[in-house]
Amino acid sequence: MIILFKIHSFLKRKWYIPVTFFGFFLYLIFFNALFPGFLNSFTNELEETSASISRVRALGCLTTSVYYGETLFSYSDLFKEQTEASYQLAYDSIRLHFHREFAEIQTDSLDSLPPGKRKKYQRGIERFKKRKRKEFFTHPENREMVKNFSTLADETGFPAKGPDYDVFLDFVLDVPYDSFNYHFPEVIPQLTRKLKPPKKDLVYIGRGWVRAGFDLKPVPDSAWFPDSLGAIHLPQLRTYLLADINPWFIPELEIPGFEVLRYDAGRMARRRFTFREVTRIKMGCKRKLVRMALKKGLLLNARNNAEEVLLSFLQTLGNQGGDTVVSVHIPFPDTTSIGWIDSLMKK
Amino acid sequence: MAQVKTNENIEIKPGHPHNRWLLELSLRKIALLLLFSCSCARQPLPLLSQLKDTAQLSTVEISISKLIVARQVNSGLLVQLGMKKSVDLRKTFLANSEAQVEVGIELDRIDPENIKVEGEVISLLLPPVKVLNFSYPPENFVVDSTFTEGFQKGWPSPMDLDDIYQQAEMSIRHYINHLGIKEIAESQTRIFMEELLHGLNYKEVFIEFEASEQLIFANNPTKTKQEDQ
Repeated sequence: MIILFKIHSFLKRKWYIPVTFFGFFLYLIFFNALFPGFLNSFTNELEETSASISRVRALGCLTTSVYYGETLFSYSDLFKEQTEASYQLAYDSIRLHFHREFAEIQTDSLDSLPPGKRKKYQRGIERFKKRKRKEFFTHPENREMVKNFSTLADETGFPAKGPDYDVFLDFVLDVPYDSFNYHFPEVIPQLTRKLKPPKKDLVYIGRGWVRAGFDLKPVPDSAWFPDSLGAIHLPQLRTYLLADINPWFIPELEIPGFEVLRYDAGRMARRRFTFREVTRIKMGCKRKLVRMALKKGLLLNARNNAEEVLLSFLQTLGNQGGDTVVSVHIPFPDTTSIGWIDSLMKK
Repeated sequence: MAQVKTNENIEIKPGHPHNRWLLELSLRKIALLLLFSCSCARQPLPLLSQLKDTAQLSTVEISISKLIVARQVNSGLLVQLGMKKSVDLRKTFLANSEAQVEVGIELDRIDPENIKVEGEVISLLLPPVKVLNFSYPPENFVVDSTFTEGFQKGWPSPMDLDDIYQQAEMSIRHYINHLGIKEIAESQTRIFMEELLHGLNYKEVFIEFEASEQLIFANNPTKTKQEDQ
């Protein structure tokens, strides 16, 4: 009784506390926070639209190895890749710009001039070069970039130090980007680290497969006949590589191909992602999957297995008026040219 | 003899910082218990990150295009009470998409007993054509931005987008058997094999396929090669 009396007196004095709590409770229900799907439950529904065949293409691809894998890719990874690419672009554009300017001057052969005039010409060229450099470095964007590069001089051993643009320019003109990145591997990562990280993040997990094999279409008929030792050589075979991450990885087991691991659209969801950004993150997953597959030795496995498959296939078919096949030889796939794989992904 | 210090000498009281891991452990256990109790519907993941040998000869690639029209449907209490409409027609998602299907045969399934050679005449009974690869890549979704105002009003979020694409994939997979893909694939496979066998000096080539009612999807990472057969 005493307890009930105490509660009653408490409520009489401070009635606003339970009322506030009740109000807050209603608020949570209304905004789907407490019981999601009670007042509003949203689902996405597709309209019935037909599917139609838009193109038929004849192939002759023999897939001999498949890699199944899982990768993670985030918006910040994409951001890093983009900034690195933009630095490379800036570096190359400086090289291109100045090389063109200077190449035009040097086409004039100074040797054919009399010595007095030659000196005058040379001085003119020097002045021209100076002016061009000044023009370039007065542009605020270029100035910013050089400043970025030169602040790292002490940490990374990069020779351009302080506001001495000439040293920087000489270095850039002498060294192409690839060897610059090789000799000073810390410069670009340091520069990207100094930038502000994006205030939103989206991390995708991607499950898919990479298929590798050979295109049999360009092989001429004569190549299928063995030589006197019973060996078939197929140097014409073109390597074939395809990566796929679909919305569903295994639909029967309800395992999705793409799954959001982390989604942060900034405070009050003010920095939402565009469709294009989401697609680019997904494509990043695919690129990473290809790299993982190549590291695991997909191409080599595909080549070794293709030799076995083709040998047993040709032996079971037999050939009319030729020797029996003893071995099939396929050259090792060129793993050094990864560039074409990237171009494949960006189709 | 050197004295060996043991941990037995140290007294650990319940509130002591040394003992904090006990509390953490129990919390972790509770969290795990909650997690497992909620996620019973999800199947365990198959073995990933593996290389698998195959012998698949894809003879035709077929592109299937599909228009995706998606809407957000509300079925909560407010709709049941008539205080809200179930579909907000202002929110429509419209996109063009294209799937690529590679169809062909599995070379290691060819039975040597099904190959008959009589002089320059060869007759083959090939295994049924299968869908060797189904590809519905993210870059093939082209969102129509004039209809879709999405991402400004919060719908569709990336999660909704995945849900929509998953539904679209399932509907394409459902349609595959009704598009006549099997016939196209059989004729293309026949053309490819005839060319190959003419190259091996056979004058006459007869090709038939083993009977099958539906197209089967060949790739399944959960199954090993022996299980497939």
